[in-house]
Amino acid sequence: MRLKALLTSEKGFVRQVVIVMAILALIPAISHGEFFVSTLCLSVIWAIMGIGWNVIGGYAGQVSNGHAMFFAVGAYVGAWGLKAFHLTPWITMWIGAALCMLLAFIVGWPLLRLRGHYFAISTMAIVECVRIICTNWDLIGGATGVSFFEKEMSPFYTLQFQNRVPFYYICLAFMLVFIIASRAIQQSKFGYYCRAIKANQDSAESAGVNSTSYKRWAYMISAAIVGIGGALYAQYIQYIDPVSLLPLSNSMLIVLIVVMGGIGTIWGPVLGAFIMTFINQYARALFNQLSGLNLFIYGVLCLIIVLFLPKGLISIFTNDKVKNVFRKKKEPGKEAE
Amino acid sequence: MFLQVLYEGLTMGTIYALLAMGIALVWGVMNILSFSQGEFMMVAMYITFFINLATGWDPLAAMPIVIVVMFLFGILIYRTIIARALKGPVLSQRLVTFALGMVLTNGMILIAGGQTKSVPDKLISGTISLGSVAISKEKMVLVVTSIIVTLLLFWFMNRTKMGKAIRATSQDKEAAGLVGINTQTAYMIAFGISAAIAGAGGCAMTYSYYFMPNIGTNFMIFGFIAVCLGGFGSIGGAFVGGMIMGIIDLFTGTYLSVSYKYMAVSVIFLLIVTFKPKGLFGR
Amino acid sequence: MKKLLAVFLSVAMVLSLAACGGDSGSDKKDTKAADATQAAGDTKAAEDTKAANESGSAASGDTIKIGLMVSFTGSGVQAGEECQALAKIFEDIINNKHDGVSLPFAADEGLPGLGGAKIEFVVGDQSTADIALSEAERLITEEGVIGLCGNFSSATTKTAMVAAEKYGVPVISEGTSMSLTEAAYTYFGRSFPGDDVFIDDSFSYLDHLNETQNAEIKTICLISEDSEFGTNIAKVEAEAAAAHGYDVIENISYNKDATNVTSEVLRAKQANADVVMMSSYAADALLFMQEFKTQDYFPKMLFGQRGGFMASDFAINLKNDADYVLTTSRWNADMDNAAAQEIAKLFKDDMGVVLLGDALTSVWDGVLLAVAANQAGSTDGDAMRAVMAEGLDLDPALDPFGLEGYKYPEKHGQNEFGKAIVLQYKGGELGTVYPEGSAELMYPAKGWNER
Repeated sequence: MRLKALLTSEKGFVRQVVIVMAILALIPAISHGEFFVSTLCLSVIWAIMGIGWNVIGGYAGQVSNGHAMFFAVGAYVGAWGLKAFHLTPWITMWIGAALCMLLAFIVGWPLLRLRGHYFAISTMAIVECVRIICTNWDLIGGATGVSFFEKEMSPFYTLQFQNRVPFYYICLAFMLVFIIASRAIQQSKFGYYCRAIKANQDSAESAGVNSTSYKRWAYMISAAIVGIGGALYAQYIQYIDPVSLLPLSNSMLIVLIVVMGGIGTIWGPVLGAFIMTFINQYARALFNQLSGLNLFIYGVLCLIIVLFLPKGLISIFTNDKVKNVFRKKKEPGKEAE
Repeated sequence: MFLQVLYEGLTMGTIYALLAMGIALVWGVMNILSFSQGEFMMVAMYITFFINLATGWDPLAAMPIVIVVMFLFGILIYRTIIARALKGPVLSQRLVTFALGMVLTNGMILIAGGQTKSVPDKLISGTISLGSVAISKEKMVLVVTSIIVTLLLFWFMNRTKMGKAIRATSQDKEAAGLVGINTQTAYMIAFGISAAIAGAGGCAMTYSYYFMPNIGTNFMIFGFIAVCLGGFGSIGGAFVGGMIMGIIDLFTGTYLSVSYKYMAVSVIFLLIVTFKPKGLFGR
Repeated sequence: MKKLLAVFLSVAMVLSLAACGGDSGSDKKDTKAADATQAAGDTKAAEDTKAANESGSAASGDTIKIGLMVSFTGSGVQAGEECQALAKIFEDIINNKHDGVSLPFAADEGLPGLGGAKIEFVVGDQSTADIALSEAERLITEEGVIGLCGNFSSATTKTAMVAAEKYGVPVISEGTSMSLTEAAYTYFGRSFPGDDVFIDDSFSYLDHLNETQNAEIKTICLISEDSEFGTNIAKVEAEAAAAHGYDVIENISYNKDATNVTSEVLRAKQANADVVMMSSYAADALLFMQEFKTQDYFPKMLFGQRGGFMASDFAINLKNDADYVLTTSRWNADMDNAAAQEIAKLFKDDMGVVLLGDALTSVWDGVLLAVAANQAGSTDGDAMRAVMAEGLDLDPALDPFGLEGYKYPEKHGQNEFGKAIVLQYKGGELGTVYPEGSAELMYPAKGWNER
């Protein structure tokens, strides 16, 4: 019970932030392995993207299967800014985020009127278009992609570090900002209306909520955050091309992370991102005897988590029923209702 | 040339249609966007392949077996996974099918390896020349299968008790329950049938496709688009949607630009849903 | 107020920790002078890791590890499995004493230059570019590999190079894109030609046919898949065609995950060029062959650029239908030297399929890394890279490829002696047609009905 109170109350949130951030900040001090730190970086980047997606998918209930588009826009802007104009990602990521918002505004205009599966499929179709455009647009590198390996400039300017630990802390700082923003959105009137739209759009509208406008804003904020995640990712990987940025699996991974962690919650995306990324990265290392085994196990784990914890891994901490199941090893079918 | 393209467009359309009808059935009845339909097709191809390997039967001879096996496989999946997922939120249901697709694809890599496979020495092969149009017999198998499956499906849904029960359930679950329909069974049968459609499609596709475990993923998004074009979970709509997709695919590819052919499909789809948000034949 | 304070404190805590963690970078902001120190600090960090690796490898009974990057998922699985099997064969040859086998280090146990150290291939995944980066990092920092080789594509090479450059570990990759040699990587090496040579050789071969056999080849149709691999080839092909005076009358770029390639084939059929030049992966190459047959179309010459046309899936599935297809390559099982015959036989006995050039090259690059380490007498990346730049000391009799040598200049890493050959399928098997080899060119190709 105390834990539940901690997770929902105002004071509790501050305490959570302090505890979680302290733990995350201390992890690299414990283990310095480069691969481990890289995995941490990747986790935090995916967490940022999960937090972004959560705004439209979790709070407003519009399940987009096409956030790879914003991810790619952020990454492309960051990459080209550095490669062509020697602009630091510290600046270009905001340009990228602004572009993402613009794109979300334009795309959202027709798409956000659609509901349910239609919205999801339309976002998938849009990403397909963006992929084809990026592949054939030679001005932005086309299929060859963008390689931007900067050795001369300061790593704090380019965000390309030899040793990934500082990069990890920078990503962590961004994550902190977005966690607080996510909380602010959740607690605000805006978040309240979003949840009303999610619960029942028609009744929200009849109660005078301008659903189109709220959904559009949620979509734009969501796009901007994912765009920043994309910019960080670009500096992490240092080579981008349409094939690696825009497959359907990237869009789905963002959704998967949030749902695994706990959709519509503040910490869900973070928890999901860390668990999924670590499983994914280490499954590859552990199960490399047989081709396909790592993704098979990954898929099975996803199935189990989604089936048995429909409210996400976070519900282990918040839901007493689930906790009881885990303690008493009861038959875990009932909590699904 | 024009007639040739039209014919090829219609054949491609039947593949999309077969895929789309399976998706539409699951969508219409239990409101799940099934990401694993393409993988079911892949599994059916491999079942056909293994039957052929073990007994030397032609895919056409093996088709009834494949359909039955896939029907049972669908029911198994429904009982173990989907039934449980249905209790959860809509999004979880979608992700469950996505994860299932991942498991099936990589499971198949584990079982059969990543090689490309094909069924050798098919019963029907060759090309009929009709003036300027070359009609491939292998593709005719697909067209005929697709038409038979569609007709059978219509007959089943409209003429049999179970079909009517499934339709009633898809229209109003609670009312269907009140008039004594066992909605759980209806769901299960519907899911099984959707897998069986994939079975027929996959089996027929071994005639003109080489296949590997990740072939299902490539078709998925077009299956979705076809369903949406047709309109909310309607099977007839899905069939027409698939046909339209095939025609757009081939005509833009041949006469405009190959690079942008899938973009044309997507853009036309987006335009249609923008102006008719419930699809062409949406209720 | 309290809340704000707490948030502030937590931020401060994170930042201070960041400073501690950043260590060498904490007390300097972003002045130029600071970078040097930062860079130095980082290099030191990298050296620490490397030193740790070396001591690690010394402790584990003198085994040096070589990273072998293959695809665990997607369409490259089969090629990856062949590479792994081949790597096992080479491990056995190098680590144990084999008399009368003309392959490198067969006569000794282990690598003599490193006190008889054994080698081990460690497998990593390179299915996509982001995975390749993670896996290269893991192999280098966790497994302590001394170098990377494998079934790389150009795109995955680029991300693997990010890790390799960071830790100073040499990579020998056969990603053929020109962008790799132009990127000025320090630790990059490529033993065999890039797209430019492969394609220029292809067109020179066409010239040669026009001159000697009166082949009357004038028009070209390009079909290429639309990712980094095919797009670059198409670009180079278009330039080379212009330079050699051929007409490119159709240039098709398609997606490798396409559900059908009917419109592509219809366009090619309508263009009806003398030569169709293709770059494809395995699955789509097969899809094209199927569709060519369905549409009853086969050009006078179908010229593939490795990739799918060099995958074992191609011949296994098509059997005789693969006939008349040409492809460029680096190696073929009919090569006239003892080393080539030896390894081809060992592989066939093991896997039951014919060894193809692409698989052999991927693993051979790893053997070359072992040669470099052996010659340098050290597993240090810089020492190995220096030896690679000087030229590897390898008895040509032990080289299945029969190249004059292996020398990777520091500037671009392209081996100066790499060569391309041209193969053609006949009876479901590949024969070398250029340079004049075991097989005779069959030209023009017969239509499907006449075969």
